[in-house]
Amino acid sequence: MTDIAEKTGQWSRQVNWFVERFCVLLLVLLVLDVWLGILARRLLPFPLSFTEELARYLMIWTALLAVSSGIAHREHIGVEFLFSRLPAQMRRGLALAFDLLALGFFLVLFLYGIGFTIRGFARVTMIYGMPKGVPFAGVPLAAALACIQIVLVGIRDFFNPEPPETTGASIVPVGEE
Amino acid sequence: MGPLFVALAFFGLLAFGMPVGFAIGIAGLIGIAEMGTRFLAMAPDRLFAGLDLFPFLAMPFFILAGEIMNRSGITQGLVKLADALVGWLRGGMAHSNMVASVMFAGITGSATADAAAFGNTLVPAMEKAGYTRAYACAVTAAGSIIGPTIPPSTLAIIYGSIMGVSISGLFAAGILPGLLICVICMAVIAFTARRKNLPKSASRPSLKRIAQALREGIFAAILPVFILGSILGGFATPTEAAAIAVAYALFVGGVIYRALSWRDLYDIAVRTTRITGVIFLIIAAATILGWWMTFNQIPQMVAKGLLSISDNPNVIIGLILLLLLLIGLVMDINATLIILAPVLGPLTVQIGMDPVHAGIMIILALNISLMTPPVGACLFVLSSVTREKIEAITRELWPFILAEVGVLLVVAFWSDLTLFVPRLLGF
Amino acid sequence: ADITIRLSHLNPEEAFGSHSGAMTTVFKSLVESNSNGRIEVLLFPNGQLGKDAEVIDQVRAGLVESTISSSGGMAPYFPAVGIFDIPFAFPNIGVASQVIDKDSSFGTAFTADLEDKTGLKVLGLLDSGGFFAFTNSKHPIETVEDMKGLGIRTMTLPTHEAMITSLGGKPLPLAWAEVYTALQTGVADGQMNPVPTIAFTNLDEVQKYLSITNHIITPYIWTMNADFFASLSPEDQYLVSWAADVATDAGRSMSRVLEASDKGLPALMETMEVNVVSSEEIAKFAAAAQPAVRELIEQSYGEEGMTLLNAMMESIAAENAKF
Ligand code: NA
Ligand code: NA
Repeated sequence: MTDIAEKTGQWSRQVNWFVERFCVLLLVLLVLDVWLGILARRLLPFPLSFTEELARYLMIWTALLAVSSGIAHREHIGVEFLFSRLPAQMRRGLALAFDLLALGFFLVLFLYGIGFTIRGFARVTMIYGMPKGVPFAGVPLAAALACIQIVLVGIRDFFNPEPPETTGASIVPVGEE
Repeated sequence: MGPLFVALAFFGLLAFGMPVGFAIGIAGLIGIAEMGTRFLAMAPDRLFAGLDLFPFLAMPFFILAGEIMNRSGITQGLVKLADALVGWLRGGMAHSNMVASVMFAGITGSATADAAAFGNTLVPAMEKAGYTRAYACAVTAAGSIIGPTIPPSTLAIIYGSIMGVSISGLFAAGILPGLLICVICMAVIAFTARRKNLPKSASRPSLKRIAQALREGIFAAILPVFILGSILGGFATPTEAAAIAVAYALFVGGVIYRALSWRDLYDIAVRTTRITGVIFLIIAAATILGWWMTFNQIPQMVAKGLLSISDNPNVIIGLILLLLLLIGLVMDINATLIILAPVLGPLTVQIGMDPVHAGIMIILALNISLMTPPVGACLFVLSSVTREKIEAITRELWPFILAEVGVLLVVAFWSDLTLFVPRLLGF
Repeated sequence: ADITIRLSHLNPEEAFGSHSGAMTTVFKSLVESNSNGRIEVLLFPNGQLGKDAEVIDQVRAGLVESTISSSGGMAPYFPAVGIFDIPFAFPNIGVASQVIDKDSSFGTAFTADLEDKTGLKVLGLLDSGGFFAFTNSKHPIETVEDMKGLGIRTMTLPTHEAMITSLGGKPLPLAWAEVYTALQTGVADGQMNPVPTIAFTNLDEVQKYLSITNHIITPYIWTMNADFFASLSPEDQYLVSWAADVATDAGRSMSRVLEASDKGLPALMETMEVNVVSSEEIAKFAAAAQPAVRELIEQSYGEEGMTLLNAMMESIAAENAKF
C-alpha cells in the first residue's frame, strides 16, 4: 500500500472513531427516551410530552451521522452484478466516478442544508420551544462528515494498488467485524 | 425530457453498482435541479422529513434487539429449539421462518421492521443450521410482506382513512391473503427443498431432545409472545414494542445468560447505528425523488397512460397491479398509496369491485413491490443487515416472487377469498 | 397556461369529502374558468407534498404557491395561533363562523399579525371542520369527574395537555400514525377531534363513546406566497382573492353539511353511543380547564398573544350578544 493510501485510511478511521462514539451515545439516549415514554404513560403520575418528538430527532441524528460511518466502511449497498464482472481498470474508474458523484450529492446537501438549518431556527419544536434548527442541523453536519469520509476513503482506494472489488456491500462472515 | 433523464440516471447508476442510496438521491437531485436550482432547497428538507416518522423506530430497535440476541447466544438457543422441532424435515428452518413471519405479523404493521428483525436473528440462525445466507435472506424477504398484510397494517390504516373504507374491514380482509402467502411460500420451499439440498438433521425429534432444547431456547421462544402481550395488553404501540424487545433481549442476554460485556454492547451499538445509517439513507434519498415525482404529478401521468389502454375490467385490474408494482419500484409505498389510491379507488368502484376487496388488492401489490428487485426496501434492509449481495438474494428470491404474484392474482380475481372473513365478522 | 398555482391541502380531493376538498375544487374551477385558462390550478390533496408545517415552508420559499393548513401546521411559524386552544371559548358554531373569518373584526387583526410575522399572504380563514369532541372506550363523559383517569391522546401541544390534565385526565401524545392501533389495543382510552375527522378516520371502529363537549375549535388557514401574489396583475389578484373568498364560504358550508349528514354525526350515532354534555356541566368543564390554559398562553405568547386572545374573546362576546 502506498503512503498516501495509508495516510488517508488512517485519517478516515480517526474521524470515524469520534463519529461512532457519538452515534452510540445518541442510540443509548434514544433507547432510554422511548423506554421512558412507555413507562411514563403507565407509571408516572404526570405526562411526559416530549419523548415522542425527541425520539424522532435522536433517531434522525443517529442515522444521518452513521451514514459517514457506512462510507468509511464502504457498507452502502449497491447492485454489483455488472461491476464485479468489469475489468480492473474500469472498476477503478467507475469507483472514482461514483465517489465524485456521491461527493457532489453530499455537497449539495451540505450547502443547502445550512440554509435549511438557518430557516429552521425561525421555527419552534414542541420540546420546550427548542428551535427546529437544532434537529435540522443534523443534515448539514452529516453531509459534511460524509464529504470528508468520501474524500478520505476515495483517495485511499484510488491509490490502493489493488483495484476495488466492490462499491459497497462485501460479504463478511457473521459475527466478524 | 426531464423524467426520462432522471430515470436513465437512476437505473444507469444503479446498474453499474453505485450504492442505492446515492443513486436514488442523485436522480432526485437531477430532477429537482432541472426544475430550477432554487428547488434544490428541497433536498435537505425532504431528506429530513423522509425520516421524521415515529414508526420508523421499529427498524433500528429490532436490529438492535437482534444484535443483542446474536451476541448473547439467545439466537443459538433458538436454532437448537427449531432444530429439535422441525430439523428432521428438509427445509424445516425455512418453513419455521415463514410461520414465524405470520406470528410476527400480529406485532408489526411494517414489512421492513419484519425484515430488520428476522434478518438479524433468523438469517444467522439458518446460516448456522447449514442454509446459504442468500437463501435465508430470500425466505425472510418473501415472508416479510406477510407482516403488513395481516393486521395490524400501516397501509390499511392509510388506505382506510384516505378512501373512507372501514379499517377494521381491511384488517379482517388481510388475514386470509396473508396466510395464503405463507402457505404458498412453504409450498415453494417444499418443492425446491430436495433440488436445493436444503439442510435436514439426521435424528428424529425425541421428547428428551425437545425438552432439552426448550430449556435452552425458551427465552427466545417467549420473546414474540412477550411483545405481542405488551401490544394487546395496551402497554405499548407496535413501534414501542420494538423497544420492549430491546429491553427483553438485554435482560435475558445480560442478566440471565450473563453473556454480554460492555465491549460487546459497544460493538452491538456501533453495528446497529451503521446498518441504520445505510438503510435510512436509502429511505431518505427516496423521499427526494418521491417529492420530485409528486410535484410533477408523474404517478398520475403514468396511471393515466397505462389505464387508458383498455376498458375491460379484467385488463384494468391487471394494469392497476402492474402500475403499483412499477411505481412501487422507485417510490416509498406509503407515498405511492397516498397519491395513487385516490386515482385507482374510483376506478375499482367503476368496474364493480368491493371497496375492501380493492383496498386489499392495492395494499398487497404495494407490499410485493417491497421485495422486488432491483429496488425493494425489504431487499435493502436484508442486504444491509446481513451484508449479502442484492443480486445473490434476488437469485434465490425469484420463485417466491412468482408465487406471491400468483397470490396477488388470486386475491384480485377471486373476491370471495378476501371478503370471507370480513363478511363473517359482519363488515 | 401562463400562470400555475400549486395548491396543497391535507384532505381528500373529493369536493363532497372534506371542507378543503370543496374549497380547492371551487377555487380551481373559478380561477381557471374566469381567467379563460390563463391561470392553471394544480391540486395536491392528502398532504402529498409533505407534512403541514413542511408545506408552509415550501410556500414561504416560493416552491409551492399556496396551501391550506391546520393551526398545528402554522404553530411553528406563528405560535400565537395557540390562542384558539383556550377551551370552551366559543358558545356555538354560529359565533365561531362569524369570528373565525378573515374579514371579522378579530379576523382582520389576526390575519394582519400572521401576515406580518410569517411573510405569507392570507387568502382565507375558517374553522377546521367543527368543534372538538371526546371519544373513548370506557364510559360516556357527562361530568368533569368522568374525565378522571382517562388516558386521552392529544397532539403534542402544551395547551391541549394542560387542558386534559386540569380536567383530571392523562394526556398521551402519540404519533398520529399509531392512534388507530393505540385506541384499539387500549394504549390510550380516548382522543379528541372534530366530528368529521372522527368519522373520516374510522375511529368509531375502535371507540365506543362520543361525548359532544364542543371544547375547542381551531382555525384552518389558507395562505399564499406573498411575492407570488404581488407578481400577479391587479386583475388577477382580485380574481384570486375573490375565488378564495367564495371557496372559503363553500368550505365552511361543506363542514356543516358533512357534520350534519351521513358523513358526520348521524353516521357516528349508528356506531357509537353519543351524548351531549349539558350546559351546566360545560360551565364546570370551563371553570376547571380555562385558567391553566390561559396561564400557559400568557406564558408562551406574552403580551401580543394576550392582546390577540382578548380581541378574540371580545369578538366572541359581541357576536354572542346578538343571539
Ligand atoms: Na401486521
Ligand atoms: Na420494489
